[in-house]
Amino acid sequence: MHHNRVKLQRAIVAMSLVASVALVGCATAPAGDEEVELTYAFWDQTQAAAMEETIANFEAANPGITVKTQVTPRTGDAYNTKLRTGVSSGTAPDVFWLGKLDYPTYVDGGAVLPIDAFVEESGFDLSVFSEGSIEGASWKGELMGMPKDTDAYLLWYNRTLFEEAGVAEPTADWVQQDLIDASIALTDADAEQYGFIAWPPANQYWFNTVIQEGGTVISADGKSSGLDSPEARRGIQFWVDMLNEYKVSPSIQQMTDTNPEDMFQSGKVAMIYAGTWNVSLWKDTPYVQENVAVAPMPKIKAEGGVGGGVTNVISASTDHPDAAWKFLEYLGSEEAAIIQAEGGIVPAYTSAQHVWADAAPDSMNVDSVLPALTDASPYPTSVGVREWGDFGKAELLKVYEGKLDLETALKNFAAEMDRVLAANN
Amino acid sequence: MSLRQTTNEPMTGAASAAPVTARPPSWKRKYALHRGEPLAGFALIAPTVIGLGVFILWPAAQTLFFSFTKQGTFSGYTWIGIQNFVDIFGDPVFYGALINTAVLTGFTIAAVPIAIVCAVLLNTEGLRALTLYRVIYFLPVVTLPTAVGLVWKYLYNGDYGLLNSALAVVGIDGPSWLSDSRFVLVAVSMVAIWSTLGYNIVLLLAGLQSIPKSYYEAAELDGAGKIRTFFTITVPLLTPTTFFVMIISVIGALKTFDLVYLMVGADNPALGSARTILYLFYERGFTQFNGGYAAAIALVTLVIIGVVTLVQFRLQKKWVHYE
Repeated sequence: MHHNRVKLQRAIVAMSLVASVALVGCATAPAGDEEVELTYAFWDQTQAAAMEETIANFEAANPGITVKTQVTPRTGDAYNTKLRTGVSSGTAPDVFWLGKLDYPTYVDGGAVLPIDAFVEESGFDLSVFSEGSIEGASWKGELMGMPKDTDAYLLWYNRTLFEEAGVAEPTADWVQQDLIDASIALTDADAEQYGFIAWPPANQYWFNTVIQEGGTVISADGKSSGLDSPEARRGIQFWVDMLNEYKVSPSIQQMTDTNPEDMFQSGKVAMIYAGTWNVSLWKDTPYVQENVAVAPMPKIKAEGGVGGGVTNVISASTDHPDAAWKFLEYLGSEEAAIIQAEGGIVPAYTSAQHVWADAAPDSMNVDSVLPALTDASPYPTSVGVREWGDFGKAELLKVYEGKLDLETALKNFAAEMDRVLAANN
Repeated sequence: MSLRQTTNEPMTGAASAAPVTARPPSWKRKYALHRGEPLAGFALIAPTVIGLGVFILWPAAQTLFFSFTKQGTFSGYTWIGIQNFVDIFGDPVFYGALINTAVLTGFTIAAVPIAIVCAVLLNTEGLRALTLYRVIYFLPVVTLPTAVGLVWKYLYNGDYGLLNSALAVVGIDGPSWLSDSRFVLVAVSMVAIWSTLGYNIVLLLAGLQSIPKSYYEAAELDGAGKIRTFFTITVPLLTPTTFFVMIISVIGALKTFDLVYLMVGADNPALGSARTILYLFYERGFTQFNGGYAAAIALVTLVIIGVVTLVQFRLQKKWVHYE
């Protein structure tokens, strides 16, 4: 009996030793010299097919480099949370998408490898991108990444609902009052049909109108808030009125429970401000193909609105900067631009943008909005944007619920923004 | 048990055997026989000790340290002393989260009697399809929180949710449960209770089965009815288990995060009425990049859980009966 037990114990000890040796062995296994595997992280499942196609082309032209994709949705901020954790622990993907919102935080925090030296060495021609795109991919005079795409907000509308209500369709000459009038005419609360989506706390909506009023969200030097101003007040008052005064929008509760874009694409809402990227989301949806078209956002004092655009960047902690650059170089090529344009995303590569318009269903009338891409202002953001963004969202929410007046809310919002900007400059 | 013998041996063995003979002390002889044992013991506890150290103790120590720092965006930190704690106790959002968490915990405590009643019913002898009922009650416990959150989010939808469709049948126009600040906390609490009910029932069932049958027989002979028996025998004798259920329910409620994250989420206008302490921790630490502040919140939560549990242990003398 005893003998057996000792034997068993020895066996267990031996096994744990073997196991630990095996684990150590795994950790120190040398990486191959020839084969390089890059990880490429992005958030948009809709674009996954285009990305896979791009990667397949790249791998075929560059034997020895393979690219593994890592798709994490932005829902619930999962992409940012995961990326941030990866960067902090030195395990960030080699190449990843950076959206405009968190761009300053990541590049200023040193998460990204500047690419000036690579561009110079390879002779990559940056003039294929607009100046705005290059600026959007730079930070403090250095080029931080390869512009991937660009975007703008558009007025999407449901032709069938306009026709049924006998309202004239939006044109490029529309002013804000036309939008208000049409929204009222298209709202039929009893039938649960609404004219417009007014989800005021969503930054992307009111950013546009503040800029169109001639105001700014952040000053051009990035040091102070522009929100405590009559322009900003007018720009945001519009959304409050659409919701509370004209009552042409589903309630905030309804829009929280059900995604407003889903309401629009199922014909419950006649108009919505949504991005150019929605072409990729909706181009194959039969209902949208039959009923939906786009127009530029109506003018207020100025045209345009906020633009955005994703930047492909190399992680500062990558083990394979040269291979990562090769991949980035391909991502910045005309071939890669055409693949994503056909997928419904406006490429940053300017000469391929017409492919996006051509690939969209003709009924969408996408050609009419191409000028909007060049009119767009840079997306207002900063290091620490999450702090003032969350604060502002909560303040504006009080306004929409009638618990606070807009002027006080914007004073508080601007003060918090100034505090964050000062702390991070 | 031979393990116990070896640990006891040194005391007596060393005292009696040492002076007389040249033989090794008896504990060494014993030890010789069991040469592999201490080593094996260490090997066997190693995974737990290492795991505990690497995944619990070391991070806890780091959290303590971080709570006195301001974290750089991705690395580095500056020592700022107790500033994070000063900020927390001056932050209205923190107090809001504290109140929400307290209310949710209150609901959870109020649900313990429900678990007791369910457990007693499921303990009924001769109940048909007993196993089926037990499985039904326990299913939510083994369901992924993600699935629970998403399904309930759909059920609670103001326009298309099943709950409001059901209410419409009886003529009630239901609210948007998860985006209306008046209802959101109740809605989340109900799901929290529903998903832990089964676990509490299993614990209480075990407690019920340890109550000697003889008490019930004696009560029956004395002519006590079902209700009387429940309140004078079952409830008092179940109090040790009830106490344990209370402790874990309260700790679980104080740590609520996943349901709020999944069912309410960042862009919800009612978030202010549903944000729990740990949701605030997540927001500050993982979306606003403010790790030091988040670490301080975690420590405050730890202290709160510690104090609440201590108070419960103090109070148990007043109501828990040990046989």
